[in-house]
Amino acid sequence: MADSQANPDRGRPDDVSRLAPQVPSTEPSSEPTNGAAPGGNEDRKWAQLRSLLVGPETERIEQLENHPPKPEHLATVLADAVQRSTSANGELAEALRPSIEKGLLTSARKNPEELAEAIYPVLGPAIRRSIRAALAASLQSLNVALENSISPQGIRWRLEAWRTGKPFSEVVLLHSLEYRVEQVYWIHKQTGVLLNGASANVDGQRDPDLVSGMLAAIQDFVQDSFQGAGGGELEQIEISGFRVLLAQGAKSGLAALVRGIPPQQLSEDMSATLESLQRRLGNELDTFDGEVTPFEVAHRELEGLLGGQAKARGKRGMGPWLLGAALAGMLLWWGGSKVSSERLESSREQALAALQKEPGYWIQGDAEHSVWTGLRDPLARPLDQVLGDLEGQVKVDWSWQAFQSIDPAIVLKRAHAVLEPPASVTLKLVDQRLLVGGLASGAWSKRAAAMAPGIAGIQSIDWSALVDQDRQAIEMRSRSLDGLYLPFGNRSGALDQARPEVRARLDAIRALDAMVLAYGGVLRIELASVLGQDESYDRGLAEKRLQEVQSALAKLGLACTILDVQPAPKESAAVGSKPGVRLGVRALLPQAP
Amino acid sequence: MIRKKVCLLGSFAVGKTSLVRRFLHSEFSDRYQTTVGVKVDKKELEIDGQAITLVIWDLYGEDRWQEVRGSYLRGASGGFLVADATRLETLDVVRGLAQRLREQDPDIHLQVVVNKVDLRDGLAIPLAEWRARIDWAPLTFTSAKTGEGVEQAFDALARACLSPR
Repeated sequence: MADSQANPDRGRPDDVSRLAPQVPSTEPSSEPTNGAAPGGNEDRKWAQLRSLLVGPETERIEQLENHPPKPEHLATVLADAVQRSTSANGELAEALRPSIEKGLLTSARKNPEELAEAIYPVLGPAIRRSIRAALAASLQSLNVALENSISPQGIRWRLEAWRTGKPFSEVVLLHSLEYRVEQVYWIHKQTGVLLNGASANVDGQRDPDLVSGMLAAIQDFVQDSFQGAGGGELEQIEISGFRVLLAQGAKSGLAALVRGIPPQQLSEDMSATLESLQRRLGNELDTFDGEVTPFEVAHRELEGLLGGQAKARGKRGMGPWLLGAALAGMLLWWGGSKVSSERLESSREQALAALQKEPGYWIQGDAEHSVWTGLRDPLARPLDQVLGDLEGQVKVDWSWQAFQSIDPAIVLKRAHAVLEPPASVTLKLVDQRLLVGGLASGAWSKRAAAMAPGIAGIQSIDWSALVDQDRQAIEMRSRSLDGLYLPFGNRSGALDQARPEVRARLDAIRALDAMVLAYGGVLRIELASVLGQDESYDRGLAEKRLQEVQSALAKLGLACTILDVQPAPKESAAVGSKPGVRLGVRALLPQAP
Repeated sequence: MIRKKVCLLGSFAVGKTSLVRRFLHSEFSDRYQTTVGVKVDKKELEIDGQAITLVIWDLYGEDRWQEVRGSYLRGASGGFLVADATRLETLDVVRGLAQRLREQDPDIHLQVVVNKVDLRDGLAIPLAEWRARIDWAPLTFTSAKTGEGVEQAFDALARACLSPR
């Protein structure tokens, strides 16, 4: 209290912040209270004082604590904060690393062109430099070969190539190089198993597994044999023409098959590589149980040890013929690459033509680009069948989308796939009109009639050439039963259903009815009573007979229409007409598709 | 890819080299066996879809005068022990070699092979008796001459090498 009164600058934020925690910590009981009641009254006064002194600041602190900083505020300080953190330590970089890596990965996947453009300024010069170096090396070896091809030495080398059966280029290389590392093996020390290896592309290589094993065995043999004679580990094996350099580690060793005389630097490089590999894959080496896949990551480092160095050659000016030859070589190289590029373009043009002709494909691409997009109907022939060997020659990244082609060949394939016609049915497509012909069951015809209109690429369907087997059978049977006659005894109104011919005829009617019902139709039966020649016209008898038949049919579940009573015509009496009831049978079937 | 070292062991003239010639991929001359006492061959197999290469150290025949070098046995996952069906004494050598292998590595996988079973009339003891005497390790009867059992023997050892130790 005394402090706050003594301080003339108490309104300054620094002082307020210092004062704010001090106010409540002061002991009010030791201060004069001017007779005011202790306790609540005094607290109120303190609170009032606090409010007067640091009220706005307290509110601001509360606001800051309850509300996260706004983006626009952060934006003003973020750059400075990042800069300070970066200069202070690498924590921020480490924290941001996963997000940045993920972002780059997403960007590379989604928009590779933009990323390629962004890093082009870095990659471009590097690639150019690498090409320049490769070209320079090629020219150098070309020079060596040209120089020696017509010299006495060259002739000698040609003779050697002829004698040994090796290519001339290899003989030139063998004599021109000071050394060349042809193979590198990384071998597990305890088992002699090859962990990984790398080799230059040279002829006559032996199986790396066997070479590693034998090297390990020889190493063991040497160690066993010279133990106690100051013999340590084998460092080098010399054989005429080449030597094996060995670098030994605690758990593994490196062996390099070298032609020529390698510099000391190579051994040092091998040791450094081995140390690096053992450090990096130490755990895998400790727990090695035959699984060599984890050691595949070492391949690049082992490859780094391959290669060689050309023999230093006497300084000679490049003669005009040599320069000419070099230029010719360059032209050849350029021509070669041009031929190869033309070959590629020609393959791509052929592939494009084949795909453009092929039903079910729609392709967008050209001979100069290696990314082709297209549409492919799932019913089209597979790509390898369409392109054959061209598929491997075009070096194209394909991107296919599925679509439904209306090419007649594909539409017909689709119709077959959807309708699954039996062998007796033929499908043809003429101007998007599907012609269905042959013999089919009623069930198939109905299913086909329901499904065919939904097939893409079909405008209309012609069923006229299709014979419906079920319909045909019903119509035939119905024709054969039409006019069927059920006999009655003379002057009798009772139908004797026990009579075999009556039973058989009723069964035939019932079977036909079942067929018609299954087809979705109705069997219509009309009855006409026929009186016999010696039966005088007796309408009552005729009607009774009709009712008798109607009742018999009703028992079978058949409905019928009673037509008429026919008295015996004179002419029928002459041929001996018998009394009975004639049935008119007609199947009413739904419309054919 | 899995590569396992396996030692092929047995008495002199039990037919190890013939077994190798019949079924293994071999590039080095047999002279290595007499000079350094070992020749490395290999056999590539596929067991239940898993590719495995057996790197086989074909060790010089053990007899009274020449013992197998201990260092050659180091790191082996399996031992292929060959006895001659016509010479019972070769079983003693196999027993001794098995003991040495197990001293080196108690968990090593062993596969005993009784070779030359095509010589039915010359068997030292009936095959059932061989089986009864070799009850301490998996056993296969083979004939390098006819090929009988050879593939099965290598398969069995490769399968064992793939199983956890």
